[in-house]
Amino acid sequence: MKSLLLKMMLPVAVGGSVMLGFGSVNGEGEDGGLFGKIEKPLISTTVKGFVAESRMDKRPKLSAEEYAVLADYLREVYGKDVGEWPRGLVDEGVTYIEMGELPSTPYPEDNLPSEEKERLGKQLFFDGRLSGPGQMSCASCHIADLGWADGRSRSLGHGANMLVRNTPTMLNSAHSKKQFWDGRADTLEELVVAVLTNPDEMSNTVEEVVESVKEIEGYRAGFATVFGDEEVTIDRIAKAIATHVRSIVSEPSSKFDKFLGGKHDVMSDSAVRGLHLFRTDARCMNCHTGPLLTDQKFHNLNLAYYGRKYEDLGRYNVTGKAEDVGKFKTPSLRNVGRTAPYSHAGFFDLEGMLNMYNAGMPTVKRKNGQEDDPLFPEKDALLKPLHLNDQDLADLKAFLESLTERRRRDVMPELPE
Amino acid sequence: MRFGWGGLSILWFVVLGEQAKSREDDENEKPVVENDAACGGGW
Repeated sequence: MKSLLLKMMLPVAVGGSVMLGFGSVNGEGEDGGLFGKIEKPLISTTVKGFVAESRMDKRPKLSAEEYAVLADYLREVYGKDVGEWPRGLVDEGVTYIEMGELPSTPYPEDNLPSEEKERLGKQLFFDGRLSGPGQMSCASCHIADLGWADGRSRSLGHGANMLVRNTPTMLNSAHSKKQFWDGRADTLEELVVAVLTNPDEMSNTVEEVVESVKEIEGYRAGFATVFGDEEVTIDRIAKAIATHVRSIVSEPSSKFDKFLGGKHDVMSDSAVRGLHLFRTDARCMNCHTGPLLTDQKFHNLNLAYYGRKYEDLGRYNVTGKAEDVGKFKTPSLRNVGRTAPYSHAGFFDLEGMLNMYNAGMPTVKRKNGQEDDPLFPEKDALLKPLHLNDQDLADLKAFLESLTERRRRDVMPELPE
Repeated sequence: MRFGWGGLSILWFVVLGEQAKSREDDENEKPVVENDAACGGGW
């Protein structure tokens, strides 16, 4: 009877949310959504002395039949062209960019691509001789099979020392406005030089990199073909490697891309519900927006370990501005299923990350002595407890996994002698 | 046993003291997280 009632009321409820939820830019997480305001607290209990209100205060679960009805309806809603989709929910002041297919790769005017340049860049990308010890290459950390990351929490650098941050995927980095977790490089060319000369990473000097490449006859010939003469400079090395990196972009092979392309049965019911949650009550589109699923901005999730052993001040180290303490770049979510673990230091797997967002990320209080600390990090105001139930979280996970692209393998090219 | 029970007792108290100091340091380092339980605990 309840299911029947839901079937009858669902279009009305959805219709209501089209006006209230979809059309509104005031994305209050607990309100809006398909089933109106969530009543809370649902459960009040005590776990190990803590009143676990946030943990237990969840949206009500529907029956399996009701979830199926919801998925059918949402498949119809999102079965139209993206331009006709109901607008997602974002907070006031947040720039809304609709999801969609990835645009063509942007190339800087002073480094236009060519097949030869990309080939040369790929050789340099795989060549350990560019590192100080002669054993580490870009491909040591950016591995195609692992989503062009390395699968580790934190990268292993020079001398197999563990670095402080997670290796970001280089997939689609051509589209990034800033490079590195803290955005300390504006271009991929800058990034390449920074990594080659970082004593903790490839641990070389500009002079030594150039000298190493110059000594290899095959490279001199390659530079002549690409740049018109045999001269080897750090600028040319960076341009060639950056060109290869720019060639690593998403293919429209994910289930979500196919869904966008009109194949509306490729995504599971759970993933379709997850898509809707992503766009509404889970508040994801406040930061993960547009075709790349990132706002290309920096946010503080309160994971900076401020004042503690593993403190990482993030963007602050680049700008020196107090408001940037603990901020890190919003990563693209394309192919996110292959780039675990997540966060700037690889703290979480996908479920863990979703649980943390559901809790609203840690809310750290100032301790004695920190009352007037101007650098005390303030958690991003966009983060709020979401009150999602287990099925919601599973649906979100299913949607994020629908962004997984075809597994690609990259074979090391023959390196010149 | 040239060290003797007295020496052993002193050593024992030194070890206990170090452990207590280490716990105190941990407590000093730990932030107060309002929603710690919701975040899985230990933050």
